Amino acid sequence: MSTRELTFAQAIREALDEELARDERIFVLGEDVAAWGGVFRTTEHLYEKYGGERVIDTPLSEEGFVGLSVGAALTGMHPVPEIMFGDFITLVMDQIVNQAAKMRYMTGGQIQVPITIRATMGGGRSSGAQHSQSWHAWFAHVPGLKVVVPSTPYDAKGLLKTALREPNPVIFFEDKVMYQKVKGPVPEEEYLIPFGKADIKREGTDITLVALSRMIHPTLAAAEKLAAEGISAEVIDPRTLTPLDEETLIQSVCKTGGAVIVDEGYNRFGVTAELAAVIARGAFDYLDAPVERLGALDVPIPFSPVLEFATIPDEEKIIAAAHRVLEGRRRA
Amino acid sequence: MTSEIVMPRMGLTMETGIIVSWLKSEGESVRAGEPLLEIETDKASVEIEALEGGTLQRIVAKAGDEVPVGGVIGYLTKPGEEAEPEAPVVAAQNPVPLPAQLSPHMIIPAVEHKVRASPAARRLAKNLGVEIGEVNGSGPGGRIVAWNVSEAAEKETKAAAAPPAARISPVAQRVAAEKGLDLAGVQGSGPGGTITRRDVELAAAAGNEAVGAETDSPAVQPVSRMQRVMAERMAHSFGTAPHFYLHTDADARQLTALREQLMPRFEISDQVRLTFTDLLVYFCSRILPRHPLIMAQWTEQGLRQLTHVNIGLAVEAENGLLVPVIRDVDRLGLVEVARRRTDLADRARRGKLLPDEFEQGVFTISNLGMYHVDSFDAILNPPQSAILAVGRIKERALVEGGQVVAAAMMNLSLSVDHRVLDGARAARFLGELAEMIETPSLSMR
Repeated sequence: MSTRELTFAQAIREALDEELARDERIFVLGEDVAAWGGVFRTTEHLYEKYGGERVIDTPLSEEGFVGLSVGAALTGMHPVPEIMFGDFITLVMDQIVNQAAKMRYMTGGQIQVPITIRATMGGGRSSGAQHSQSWHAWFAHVPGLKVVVPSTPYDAKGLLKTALREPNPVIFFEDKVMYQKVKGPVPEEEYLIPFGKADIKREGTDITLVALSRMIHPTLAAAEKLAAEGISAEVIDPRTLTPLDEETLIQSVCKTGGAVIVDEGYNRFGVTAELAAVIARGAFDYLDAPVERLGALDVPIPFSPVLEFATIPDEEKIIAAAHRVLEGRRRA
Repeated sequence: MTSEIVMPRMGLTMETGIIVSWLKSEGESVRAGEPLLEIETDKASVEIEALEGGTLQRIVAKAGDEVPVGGVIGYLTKPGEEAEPEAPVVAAQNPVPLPAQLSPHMIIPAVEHKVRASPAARRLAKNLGVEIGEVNGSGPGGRIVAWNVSEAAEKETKAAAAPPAARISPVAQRVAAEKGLDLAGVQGSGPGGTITRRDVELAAAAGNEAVGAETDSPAVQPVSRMQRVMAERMAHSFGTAPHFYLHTDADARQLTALREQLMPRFEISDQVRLTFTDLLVYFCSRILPRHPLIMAQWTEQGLRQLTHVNIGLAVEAENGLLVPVIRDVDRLGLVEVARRRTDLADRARRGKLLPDEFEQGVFTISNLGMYHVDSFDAILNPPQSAILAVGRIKERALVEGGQVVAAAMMNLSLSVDHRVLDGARAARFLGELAEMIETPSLSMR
């Protein structure tokens, strides 16, 4: 199997390319996705390759093009609308939550809604409070939606290809900081990654660090630093929030006895809370310390880089949280 | 690590407890679940079990000390650990004034203190058969974490496999047995640490010296809760109620005659022994309704007027004074008074009175007539306003119609709370009582 290094954006583009070629029901639409190739370069040259009927530039009109996509999905197409800044997914909550997520259920399974909504998340670019948020938890809260939060180019490609074969609505969150900055091996051969299967990014025995999307990267760096202290950290990436691979999380914590959960969404009522609850229940008798949760601080994300970075989990905060979990657990 | 032993809460209303006695002494080892000390609450005496095993490092609250619930009474050091400096005792802020009562002793199981341990530590302890309460926690706030348990289990295994105890020479063994000396703490000076006769004799001598040193300072005996309550109430009464005393001698000839007349009949027909106390209780019950102020009580808000003629009797019980109350005596006949008095006094002596049998008295009679006491003054039984102290009936010279005659006389002393009554009002009551003693038929009117 030959493997090259691709950026996160390239991996996304490649998945779209392969799937556009494979299935003519698939079409891509969004702001600047066609002629310009996407502001984050995730649809580069797709317009040239597949034409204006399958790669469509839309006005700034999320309600319009997502509503259109839900309608198209109902007729058997597989639209891939892109929400350039995930913050504005608020504009299409009704289309997603009340329409796309409900149709299959309300028609007793007669209708399916194959739609893959791509949206960005993540701060750290000084984009301000309206362009830096991570709203994946909202959709993980809604029955009838699948939520994907890839962390590497490899995962992004494999999971997006799975999403594009999925007969149900998928909200696919891509951290915009990773598009160009994160590079990773992606095989040339076609592969798919099933939903609901967490990936153990690093094996360890002393503590479980759970992270998703971009947070995997500072978490892996923290694990490396902890290893230098003699602490063996296991790093787990759930990859999809719905469905959630509870088993892998629980098994890991049963082995290590402690967990830190890292997410860029807000802590309050967020992903970290849900995963902590899963662990507390499933691994209760194995927990040696309370689960630590590291999410975005519960404030609007500041524009000032100094303040912004203070609200987002980073390597240092993860190490500190790991130390809290491990306090008193190791012999001096 | 040294852990605190605290005064447990044995009931919802318990605020303080008194150390009756420690069943272990400082330095003695104790197993979890073993009786460690006895405490007394206002309701009962209770044996407290050790929650965890270890060495009783230090006793902070000595026998007799009253300690608020949660207050530190001692320190326990886990096996193989060093003692830590101790914190000061939290002394009782206010002694709780409670009526003297002694309900049947009950044993309440010791309160279980929550051991802070992670779920993983608990699971491991269960699997390894380690007593979680005996493990030291190294986690945040002393939480027991898993490796503390595995380490404790390891230590236990090592201890079990430890070499046998020090060798003791046969002579040393015999001498130790003769002297009743425990060789556990004796250091052997012989070859290979063997304990020799000389070691035993030195240890015995050191022990004797320690005993001798102890006897120099007299030990303070702990008092019972009952005794403590009495002490507090009497001190409180004497300190707050301004007492005054009225004395009189009553001619007790008719009273004596009446008793002699009635006593055999009561014994035959009612199987009850009539006492002078019974007659005094009966008389007082007939007079008290005419003297409501005697039955009134001083409060900060004003006078509390009580109307039920409930008369308390000072009774000597094994551990001190008790004052059971006969209720509504004015509605009782003399036989019934005698019966109730006999029952209450009996049960008071056996510690079998119920708490409410001490309550709601409005007047108290203390009769020391059976002793070599001619007269005495009693301290008010708070919150009551009057108490009658009765001396023995004794033949004395009485001037009667210009003649000196020998007559059985009885001294009465009425102690009165001057906040409630003045001398004249109290005198009228005492006068009426003396009159009735001298002419008992007045009680029939």
